[in-house]
Amino acid sequence: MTRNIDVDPLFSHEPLEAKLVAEVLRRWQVVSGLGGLVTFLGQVRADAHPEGTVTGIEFTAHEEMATAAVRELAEEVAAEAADPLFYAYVRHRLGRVPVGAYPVLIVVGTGHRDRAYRASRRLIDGLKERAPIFGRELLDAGGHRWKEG
Amino acid sequence: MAAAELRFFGPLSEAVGTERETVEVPLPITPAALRARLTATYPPLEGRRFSIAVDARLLGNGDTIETVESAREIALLPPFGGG
Repeated sequence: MTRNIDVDPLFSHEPLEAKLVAEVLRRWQVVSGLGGLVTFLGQVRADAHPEGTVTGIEFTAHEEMATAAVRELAEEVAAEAADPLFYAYVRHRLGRVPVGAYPVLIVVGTGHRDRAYRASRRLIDGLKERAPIFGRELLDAGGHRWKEG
Repeated sequence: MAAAELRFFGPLSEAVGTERETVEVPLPITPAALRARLTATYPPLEGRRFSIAVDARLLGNGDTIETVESAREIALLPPFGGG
């Protein structure tokens, strides 16, 4: 089994742009055994709360713990996938991410599509549950609220 | 007593008014005793949900028998909100 788990550096202060996805796909294009690639991007939503509407989220994290948690998670997901090939790329933003921008990017590649879909889902769910990352939702009314989950 | 770096994250840093502070901790200490000591020292933590990580390792909650023997960093982690 070939595993390629790219989760470090997990955090980026720069925007997670579509060109980053293109770069990952280009790198993986030469891996002839890959048959299914799934890309997941989280996008900041303009949720309306009684205190105001979200204009962006400011992320902070315990970077060392979060990186270790995502690495461990990706190793588990690779083992569950039981595919001869498992490629995973995970990045998360730090700092202020406006509505419409992407706080998280996950790209997974496996030999077969069903495993890639499942792995992508497990990675985003596991990241939310296990990585100590904190989001302060900034509101148009001027205040803020802390994101949970 | 040993000196440790105490780190507050997310809403906890906001509540306490700082992100890091050096604290003296008597070792060994159980997680429950550590939690009680921190809450007594920092009253804004009272009633807030948080996990404790010592040297990047999460401690169990409640009446765990695990004991903290050494601590360079103590991180107080509120509910996660990544993704």
